[in-house]
Amino acid sequence: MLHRIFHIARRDLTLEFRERYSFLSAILYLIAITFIVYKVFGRIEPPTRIGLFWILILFTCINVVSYSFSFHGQKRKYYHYILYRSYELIIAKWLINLVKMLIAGFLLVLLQSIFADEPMKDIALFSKVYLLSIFGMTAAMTLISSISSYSQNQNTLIAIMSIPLLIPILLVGMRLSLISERIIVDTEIDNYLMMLVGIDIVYIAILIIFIPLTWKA
Amino acid sequence: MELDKKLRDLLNIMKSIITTFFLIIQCTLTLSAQSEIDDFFRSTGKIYTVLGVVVILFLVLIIYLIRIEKKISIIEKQINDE
Amino acid sequence: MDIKKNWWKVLSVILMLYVLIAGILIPISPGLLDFDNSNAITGQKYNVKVKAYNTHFDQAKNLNAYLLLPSDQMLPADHIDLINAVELSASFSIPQDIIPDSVDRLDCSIVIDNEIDGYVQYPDAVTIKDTGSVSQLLEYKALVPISSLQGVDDFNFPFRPIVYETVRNTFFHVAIWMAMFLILLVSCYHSIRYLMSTDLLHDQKSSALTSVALVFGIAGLITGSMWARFTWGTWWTNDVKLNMTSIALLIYCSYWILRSSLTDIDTRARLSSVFNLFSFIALMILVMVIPRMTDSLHPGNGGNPAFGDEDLDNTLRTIFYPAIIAYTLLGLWIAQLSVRYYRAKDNIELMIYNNSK
Repeated sequence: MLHRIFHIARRDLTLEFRERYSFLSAILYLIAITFIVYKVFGRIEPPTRIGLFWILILFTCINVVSYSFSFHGQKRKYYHYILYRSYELIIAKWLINLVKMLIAGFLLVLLQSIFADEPMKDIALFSKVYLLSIFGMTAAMTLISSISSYSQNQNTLIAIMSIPLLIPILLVGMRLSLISERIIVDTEIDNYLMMLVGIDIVYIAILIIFIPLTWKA
Repeated sequence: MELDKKLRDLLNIMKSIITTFFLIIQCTLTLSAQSEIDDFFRSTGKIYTVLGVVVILFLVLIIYLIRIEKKISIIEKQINDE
Repeated sequence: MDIKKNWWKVLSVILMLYVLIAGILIPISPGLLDFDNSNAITGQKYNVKVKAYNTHFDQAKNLNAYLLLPSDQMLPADHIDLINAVELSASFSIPQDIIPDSVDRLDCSIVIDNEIDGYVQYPDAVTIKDTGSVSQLLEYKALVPISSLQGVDDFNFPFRPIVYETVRNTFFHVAIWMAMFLILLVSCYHSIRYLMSTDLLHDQKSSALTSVALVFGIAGLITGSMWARFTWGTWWTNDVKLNMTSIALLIYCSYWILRSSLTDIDTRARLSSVFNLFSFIALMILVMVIPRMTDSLHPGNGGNPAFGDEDLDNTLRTIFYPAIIAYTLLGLWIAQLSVRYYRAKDNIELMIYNNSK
């Protein structure tokens, strides 16, 4: 099974690499917005910097994942139905989105460190937080975009349905990243990390269990 | 038949609005009558007004539901007879 | 109207009327609201003016005021001055040997006792300290055991500080949330039935139940916000449970948006069943699990005692449980009417189509 998942993932990655304009346009958005914000505001306080980071990650996540299920024509959809098992396809797409978001996040952290002239204070905690949040966010977004691929106005549906699901992850992630920047002091870091892990497990479990039900027999 | 259906569509929308309002209003009235807590006296006179208003609103909702129920039963019986 | 088949609808109306009348009319127990002097010194007089709630001091014949010591004994007052039915001022003479040698101060409660209201107390109100000075020779009264308090058997709602009368809102606000959970449970059951059998009736039932549950949820949020206005002073706080509940309601709103954007009936039914199940799970996690792990103003979360043992009195329970049942049955009735209406419409269209062939 792992073999097949990696095969699907590799195949999809090569396909997307051929049409890499969509992912690169999301990255371009990231770079442009960061650039403009830093040029306008000059120096940004750490809380604003963290807020900006999470808003940009949310935005990029929606952009990036909504492309993964926008099929070019019906034929590719039927090809997928016949050839692959549903949970393998969905896990492969989730892994691809994870990789893309990791690239985007790394790039954003790098950009912010360059523009702000100071690195983050607690990179270890922050990367832990980011990794856990990304797991959950991409799982939820992949779920939503697979459900909304059946309807007409796909993009609006993805945006509307994903925001409530992503808010818990954002809330916990923001609190933890504020702790990592030493803006607030809180002793319950492990509690929040466990909560993130819990939310992630739930979203991934829902992804694996419920998506096969939405496929036609 | 068409007019009946259109009327029922309208009634269904109003039903959900009235349910929400009823549930909210009864709480508002209960709480606003207690704003005289500062006097430390039981506002016995006003509490009966609150009770009366809330019960009347509730009965209006129930009568509305019973009317819809009767109309739907009549139509279901007609469908079953055909 | 077939009463035998619809007995539960009649039951819901009767229970709702009972909840409304009993919930609004039953009075709150008497209690002590405020007092003005919290320091007492041994060997001197201690004067205090207390404000009570829902008491009948002017009609009581056997009115006593005590200071309840931690050793479960009470010091009676020297003199009581009645101001009106809910206010009085009392003066106590504190004996010098009242503080045992092992501690340096005593935390006492003020207890006021009469035969109409029973006893009202303000716990941990007064601190008695020993400064070693004696102002004058006072006549000290003997300590009285706690068993001499007069209890009164009355069916009253408990007296809770901060909420006072608005404890009645438990039957409306909290009962609506519980009813919403039960209705969503039934809706999930129908979603599972649909996924197993692909009978469209179950899909119609689950969507009608979800819409009723959404209405209840919005009403619950608004009533909770009003309750917050009257007790905590603000319409909305930065409370974890409030945020999580609104997120859960947003998920159900997006259920409706999904449902209305799909046109093919089978796809719509399948996807909305899956989404319904998944939003129920998300609701359970967001509303039950997360608030327990963090601090929250709500009872039962963040270290507060659970809503069940300490917050619900036995008197509240007799109206709370019928309220939940009444709201659930009401919601089920409205959903059933909705389903029957849509099925009747479909049947009529089917008949017209068959007749025109």
